[in-house]
Amino acid sequence: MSYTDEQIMSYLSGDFSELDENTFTETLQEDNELRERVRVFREMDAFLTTGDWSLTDTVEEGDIARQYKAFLSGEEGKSYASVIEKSAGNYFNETPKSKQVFVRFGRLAAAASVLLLAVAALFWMTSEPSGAELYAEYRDSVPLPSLANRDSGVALDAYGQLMSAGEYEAALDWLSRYMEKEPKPLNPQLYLHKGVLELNLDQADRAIKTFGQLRDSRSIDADKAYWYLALAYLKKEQKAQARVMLEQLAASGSSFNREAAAKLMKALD
Amino acid sequence: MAEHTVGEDYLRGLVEKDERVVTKIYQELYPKIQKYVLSNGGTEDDARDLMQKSLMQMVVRAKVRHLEIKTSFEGYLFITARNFWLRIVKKRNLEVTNYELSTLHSEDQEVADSAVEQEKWELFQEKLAVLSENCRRLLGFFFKKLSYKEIATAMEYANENVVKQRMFKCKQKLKDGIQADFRYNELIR
Repeated sequence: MSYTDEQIMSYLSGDFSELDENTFTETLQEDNELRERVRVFREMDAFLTTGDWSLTDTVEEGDIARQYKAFLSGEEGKSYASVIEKSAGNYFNETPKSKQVFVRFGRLAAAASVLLLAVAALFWMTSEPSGAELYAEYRDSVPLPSLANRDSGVALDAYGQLMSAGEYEAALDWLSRYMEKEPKPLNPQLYLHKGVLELNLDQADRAIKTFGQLRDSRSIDADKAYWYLALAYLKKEQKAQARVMLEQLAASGSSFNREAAAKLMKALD
Repeated sequence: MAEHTVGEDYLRGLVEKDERVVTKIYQELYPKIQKYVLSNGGTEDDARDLMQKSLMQMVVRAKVRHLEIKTSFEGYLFITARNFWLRIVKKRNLEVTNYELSTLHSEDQEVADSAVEQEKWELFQEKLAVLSENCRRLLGFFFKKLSYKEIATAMEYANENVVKQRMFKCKQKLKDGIQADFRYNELIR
């Protein structure tokens, strides 16, 4: 089935019915031309919307990104970084207080990076990955959907502001209270945000409960809960349980994060 | 002998690894970057990191491809840094915690990706600028997240459905312009 630009925009605005969205998502997986058009609309929205930004998908990075990275990682790139760092040092030397903080930070960061890389390399060479490591590797494999809803006014602005400010505990608190007050059924994406926040704030048990509510919600996003439940169990080092969740995701027929799920399942074998 | 503007001197000095010029760039422009970061949820360390990465982004674009600054160096660096900061904030929101751990070993990747994104952003702005005045105004309101109702009032349209229909058409024109440009296709291949 071919889709018009207007239908793509409706899909991206969340105006599709559950059935239409499923059909669209399936077509998207097989139709390169459709994927390209969706990409442009997505990037337009993200790059041009005030305060938003579109992140490059490093898995699908193009030739230019690779050329840039090669330059930056090479000798010439490093020599530029060194000149900029020296110049920054010259500037901050004129402000003694700032200088001390800067030098200390720079040295600490360098030392920390060397130590972390060394520890990580040693660990990976000598043991199979722990649940926590797998969690760290896979947790960002799919971005959270935006909660911005043009028709719902500014209700969620406070949440967005707390997130932007890095006030994650306050954001979780705000979101929890918001979800309690809102009439049910709730927007399933709220469960996703709440669960992911809980997970990242080391509240894995709460996250499991939240994702369980999503799984039982009978919404279009319900099957996504299995992916996040798998992450939560990884965080608790319950790798067998994580694997069960991935099997349930596969059994549900959902294509959500399919590749990463298959890769993770293999890592758990 | 041709005269150069201060901005051209700054860019040339940066590309020629002139420590004296780069220090001057810090003296002139770092306080503004720092002020922006501090008033947008960042720390002093964030500001220093952002300044270095923004300059590296300009270097890599100038050295590997082509960088033409059509405004002032100051304005360009500020826009670059602001967009880079939006990227960092968005990434932090996605990652929620452990940001420093996950980015410690991928700074080159981060600068490379941000350079591609900056090029796309510039292209999108260019394509937006050539749309009709009505479309620019309408999309301007839309991208500032005004509701359809508010846009209808501001544009003096009969109702929200008219806004939706016109907005669809304007976004479609913008998308066609972007997709037809070889530079966009270069950036995604």
